[in-house]
Amino acid sequence: MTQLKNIFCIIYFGLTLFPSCTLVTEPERFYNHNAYPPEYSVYNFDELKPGQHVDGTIKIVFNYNEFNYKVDAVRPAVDGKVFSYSDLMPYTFYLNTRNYPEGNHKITFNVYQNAKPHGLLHLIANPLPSSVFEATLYFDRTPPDTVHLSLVSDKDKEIILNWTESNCETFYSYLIYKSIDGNSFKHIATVSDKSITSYTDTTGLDLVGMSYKYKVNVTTDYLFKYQTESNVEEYILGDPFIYEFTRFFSGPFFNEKELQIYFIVDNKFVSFSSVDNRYINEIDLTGLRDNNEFLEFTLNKEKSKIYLYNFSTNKLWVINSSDLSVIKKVNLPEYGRELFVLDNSRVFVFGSGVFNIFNIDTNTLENSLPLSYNYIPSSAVLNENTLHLIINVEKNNSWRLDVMDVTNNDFNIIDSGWANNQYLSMKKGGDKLYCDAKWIYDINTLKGVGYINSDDYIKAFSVSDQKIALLQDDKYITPGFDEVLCNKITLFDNQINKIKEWKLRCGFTLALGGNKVFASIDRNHIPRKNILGFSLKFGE
Amino acid sequence: MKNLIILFFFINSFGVIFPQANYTNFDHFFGIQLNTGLTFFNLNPLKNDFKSSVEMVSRNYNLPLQIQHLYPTNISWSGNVFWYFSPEFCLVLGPEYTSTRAFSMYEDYAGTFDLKSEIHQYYLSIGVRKHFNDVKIVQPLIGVNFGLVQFNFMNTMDLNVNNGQIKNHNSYEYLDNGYSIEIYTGLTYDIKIGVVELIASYRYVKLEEILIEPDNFNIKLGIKRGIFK
Repeated sequence: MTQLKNIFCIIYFGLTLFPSCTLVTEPERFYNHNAYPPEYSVYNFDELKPGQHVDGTIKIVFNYNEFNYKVDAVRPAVDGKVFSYSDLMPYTFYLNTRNYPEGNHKITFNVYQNAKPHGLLHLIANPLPSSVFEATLYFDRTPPDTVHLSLVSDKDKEIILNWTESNCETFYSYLIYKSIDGNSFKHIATVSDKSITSYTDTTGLDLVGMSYKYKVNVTTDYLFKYQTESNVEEYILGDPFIYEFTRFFSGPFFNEKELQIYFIVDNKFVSFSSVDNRYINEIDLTGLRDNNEFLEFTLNKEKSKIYLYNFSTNKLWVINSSDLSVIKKVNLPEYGRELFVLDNSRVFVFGSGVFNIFNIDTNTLENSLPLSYNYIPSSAVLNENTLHLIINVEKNNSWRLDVMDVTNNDFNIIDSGWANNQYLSMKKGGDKLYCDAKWIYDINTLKGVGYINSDDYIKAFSVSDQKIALLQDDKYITPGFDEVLCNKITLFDNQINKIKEWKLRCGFTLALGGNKVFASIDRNHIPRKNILGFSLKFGE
Repeated sequence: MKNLIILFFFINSFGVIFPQANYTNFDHFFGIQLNTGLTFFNLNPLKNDFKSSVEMVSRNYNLPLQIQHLYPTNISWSGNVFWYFSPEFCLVLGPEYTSTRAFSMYEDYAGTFDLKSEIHQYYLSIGVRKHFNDVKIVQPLIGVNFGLVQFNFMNTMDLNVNNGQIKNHNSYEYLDNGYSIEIYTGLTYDIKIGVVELIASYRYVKLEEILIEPDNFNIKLGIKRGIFK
């Protein structure tokens, strides 16, 4: 029994121990010290802050470049779902947030490298990014709010736009739009900082009389797809004469003694200050001008009286230039088409086929000169200092400048000079005679002393003792906008040296006085904001 | 060392049970023998499969896997019962067990990835042996065994990532049977308390299904005691 017991013990130990007795035991695991996990970081966008509300398509520039490995690719993802791919640096992605539900979304940038240094994680995520940048944005559908715009101008040099700050959480930028001459608005600038609520426009602001309209929209996205418009504000460039009227007739007329500018509108004679364009006075022209006839405006030598002559009805009003009180109302016995004031009691009327001198105190004809068929005057100008009338006349098929002495109610031709053309308009400026704006004569010698070389048609001109201003057609191009028809006002000194040039929208007539040029609006132009015209300053 | 202590205890226990064996006076007796040895495996298909698996994972996932053991030589254990029907010839009957393994064990910050493979081989053989007792000091012997064989083949893959957040265990096991033919030669030496044998053998193995080239070469060291009739 003892032997059997020992045998069983031997068998038991043998069967138990045999399988465990082996040379090949389980080794230690190889530990990979070169494997490391992906690096997670919070990403700071260039233009967005984590948690910011965004809308529409947003532009994301991924420009992190402090990797210690060669980047193979970047895959951005929204809520873990990859939406793009790039292998170029910097990586620019465009994300249309409207493709996702409103709310918080995690934006992830997964940066991959060629090598796979992330060990076992590759078994469960292949490929695995080496660097992961994350940030959360809120995709918001709330429409942007409306800002209120106001304009301030620094006298034609710049227009300053001020608006109220937007409270929009999805604010992306302010979009500034500009419209010229009532045409469509065009985007001219973008302000990306919500706290900046001012913009100064200095581009193309040298077209006097032009209407510039602005609006500031708030957009929520990079593509400017979603916008809310502000109110539209208009600014008309220039220093205007403002008067409520419906129909413009004539003006401006300058009175250097009173420093006033006169306009005839709506059967009213209106005066303004030439210093600051301030409205001064007005009189009603009913009785002088009942059917919208043209009125001849003339000042006496002292500039103390204004003569308004209706050559259609032969009515003449003499008005005190200081307070616009009517001094005298006269019905001249004969018709004329141009009137010259010789003195306080006499006027010279340039009639059709006849020269007349009237005494307006007695309302009698002082003298009359019927003109022969071969003496055809075109235009005339009075030298108030000598009471000599200079007449552009065609005699024997040639054009002359005759000097007529009317001092003693005579019509004696005391001098005559050659004129190279028929002149429709002559004006005296100092000792020079400007004929149709281009040809310049010495008023004493009747010798030509100058010529303004301009091929463009001269619509109107005005002279002073030392200067001449021309009004011509022109075009104006504002960068980024369509071409606009306009006028050009050019100022010369009496030596025909160009002093200054302005661009004017819809000019009609000019008056030159002091250090300003006064221009009316085109009477066919629809008045805007009751503007009669503008004063253009050229010196101190 | 643990195995050697067990073996020492085991062998000495026979001394209590059985009287001393002596080849000069045996006459139809039974003997019992215990062997331990080394088995040198071929197993080339298995080695190639394991290498391919490791290389594929290593290449695809950039894991620097290493093959730490690839079915190396391993200890074998066997036992025999003898029946000497003449002083020089005997019948031999006995089991044998051997095994080997392959390992690729990997670890990094994220977890562990283990590839393991094991083969367990069980033999039950019967054969005939001839001793050349005329030789002095050490007596050579030759023999041949025929036997049945059972192969138990297991592969396991264990993945543990982020402290068990992701765990994956795959394993498969084959059990195949066959037969074997073993030829061997050796030497015996009488150490009074028993007879020590040193045997070298080559075993041809034929399995029914799996093709793993299971032939092997063996060196065995054993001690034998006899039971007198």
